This record gives sequence, structure tokens and C-alpha cells, in this order.
Amino acid sequence: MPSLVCDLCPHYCTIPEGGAGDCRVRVNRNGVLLATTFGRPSSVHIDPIEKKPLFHFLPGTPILSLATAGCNLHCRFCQNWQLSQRDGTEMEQVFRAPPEAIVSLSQREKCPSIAYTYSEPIIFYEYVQETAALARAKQMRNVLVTAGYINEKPLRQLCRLIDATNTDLKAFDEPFYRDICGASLKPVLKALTIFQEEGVWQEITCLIVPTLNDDLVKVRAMCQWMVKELGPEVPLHFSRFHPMYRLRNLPPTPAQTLVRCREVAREAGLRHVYIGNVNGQEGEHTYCPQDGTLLIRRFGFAVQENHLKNGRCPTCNHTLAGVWT
Amino acid sequence: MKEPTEEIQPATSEKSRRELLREGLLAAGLLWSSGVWPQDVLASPREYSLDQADLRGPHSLLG
Repeated sequence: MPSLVCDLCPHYCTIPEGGAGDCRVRVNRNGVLLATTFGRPSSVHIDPIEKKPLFHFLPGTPILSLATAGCNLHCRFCQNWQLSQRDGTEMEQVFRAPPEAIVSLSQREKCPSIAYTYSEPIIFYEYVQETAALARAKQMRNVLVTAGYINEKPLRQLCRLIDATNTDLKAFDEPFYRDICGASLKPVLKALTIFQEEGVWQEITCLIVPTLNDDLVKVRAMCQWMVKELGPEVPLHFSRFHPMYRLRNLPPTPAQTLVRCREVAREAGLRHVYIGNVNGQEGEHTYCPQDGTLLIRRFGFAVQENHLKNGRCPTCNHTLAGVWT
Repeated sequence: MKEPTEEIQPATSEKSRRELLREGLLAAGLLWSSGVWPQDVLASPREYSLDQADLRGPHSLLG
């Protein structure tokens, strides 16, 4: 039997008969490439949408969130490694959940959106695609929480079904992507520009890992790139690292580091910059970029106050970037 | 310190190798085409129905 090349992501894995790609879940069986986790999520939960995190997309709503095993990145700091760095057969639980069952469940639980998240939805691409198409037919929204390591053609196809994304931009540093994540930066930057071109609402998360990607010079360069290529309205979330997986030797990110990153990002011109995984920070709230009015007050993943009026600031009538209904 | 824009260029040799491989496989008709995903591939001994999912229970996953 011939080997196959999977051209879904920039790894372009050559998969021999009986083998699997770098993601562990796309396999060559008898010369056919199969997505083994189609309809087989290992995690299904209802979360606040703020947990994705999405702060400018249907705030305060529940979102049905699901993931299968596997990932095409291998971040040494992965916060969900028990799910992402395994194949489906190694999981403690696998649910039998074809796309129509996911959409029905979301309707029954009154979730207006479905998130493909936790591990890496790109490696269960076909499952996302089919579920998202069914969901859209039922007037539901689709959210992709991803590392953005995917080739252009499949990504543009998927964008037709996706309403919002949060992309993990791991660092603005090619060696970091290569050495810490087992991937590369350039395709991720391309994906971010594609989301923008395709009109998908997007927010970006950067997990700040002490000593590895907390260099403020590089943080500033990343934010300047975002302003130039994506515009100043794309929300950016700086998220706190907790010692995990293969980086248990590092301490949690100091809150002050995240505060400084936020300052740098705002200086670079980004208008909506948040701090995540640390409760009780000013950086949890949304302010009007025009007059500074507090628009959405949060604590953790909970929305405590929402003063937006039809997506506008009640004080100056500025239209806040985002999707509000 | 190098500018980030300098650091994000891929290794030319690696890109060429991949592109050559891809072109060869395309020419040989071996390249993957999407559309095949049987639902009985993953047989897990720990398989549950969706009704058994703890949808609102605590969990530690981020994202």
C-alpha cells in the first residue's frame, strides 16, 4: 500500500500504511486517509463563552464545547495535554456523538453556539465541518478555538461555516514555535490574516510563559504586527501560565507580567486588551475605547454588568467592535 | 536582537523538500483527498453515549 500525504496542515505528514500523522488521529488504513476521531469527542461541556475566551461575541451566553483527542502542535506548556497529546484509544472516555447529536444537544441545552476547542479542532476538521454546517442550518453559531496551524485552502473552506475564532498566538518568535511547540509561526500569522479577510470575528490569546515568551520587546513587535495586519479592534487576551506537562519547572506567570504586557499592547495601538486566568484585574473588563466608559464588568468567566446598548456605548454612542446579537 | 520579521522566514531547503515531495505525490496520484471518514474507525473500550456526558460539571480544560 502507498504512503499518503495529509495536506491539511503545514506538517504535510507522509503517513505509511498503518501509521498516523503527527496529530496521532489522522491515519492511513489500506491506503485511505481516515480521521479517526470523527464523531468521537472525549470532552463535551457547556461553558460560558468568556472561557474560550471570547469577550466581544455574544457575551454572557453558554456555549456547547467539544474536543476530540489529538493535536498537531506539541507545546511543552500545554494546559490540556491529557487530551491533546493522546490518540482516541488512549482516552479515559470517548463519546459516541455524530454531528446531528451535537447539534440536537446544543438546541436542547439552549446554547446559541458550538465551540470546537480544548485540543485542536483542525485535526478533527471533517467533524467540525459537518457539525458546523448542521448547526448553521439551525441558526446556531460556530466558534473555533485553535492554534491556527492549517493550510490556506482548507482554512478558507472552513471559514464559510465559522462565525468566530480565538487563535492561540503562542509567541512572535519562530524559534519558540519550533523548539517549544513543534510547529512554525508563519502559517499561524497567515491564518490570522485569512480570518480577517474572510470576515470571521476573531480574538487572539497569548499565554505568557515566564522566561520563554515574556520578552516585552517581542510582545510589542507582536502587537504592532496585529495593529498593522489585522487592525486595532481585534481583542487580545494575555493569559497566565500554570506549571504543566513538560514545563513543571517554571513558576506561574506573575500577574504583574501580564499587566505590563497589557500596557505594552495598548501603547502599540490595540484597543481591547485583556488579562486571563487571573481574577480581579482591571484587564478583565471592557471599556469604551472612545471615552473610557466601563461597558462590561467581569469576574473570571462571569459577566457581572453589561451596559452596552445595541452594541453601543451608552455614554458616547460609540459602536464597539464585536458581535452582540 | 533580530527583528521578528527576520525570524519568521521558513527554512528554504525544508520548504523545497516538502514542495518537491508534494508535487511528486500529486503526479503519482497518491495525494490525500478529503471526504472519507468512516464512523467506526475508533473503537474505544471506554465509549459512552452522549447522554452520559457531565455537561455542567467542573472540569479543568482551558479554552
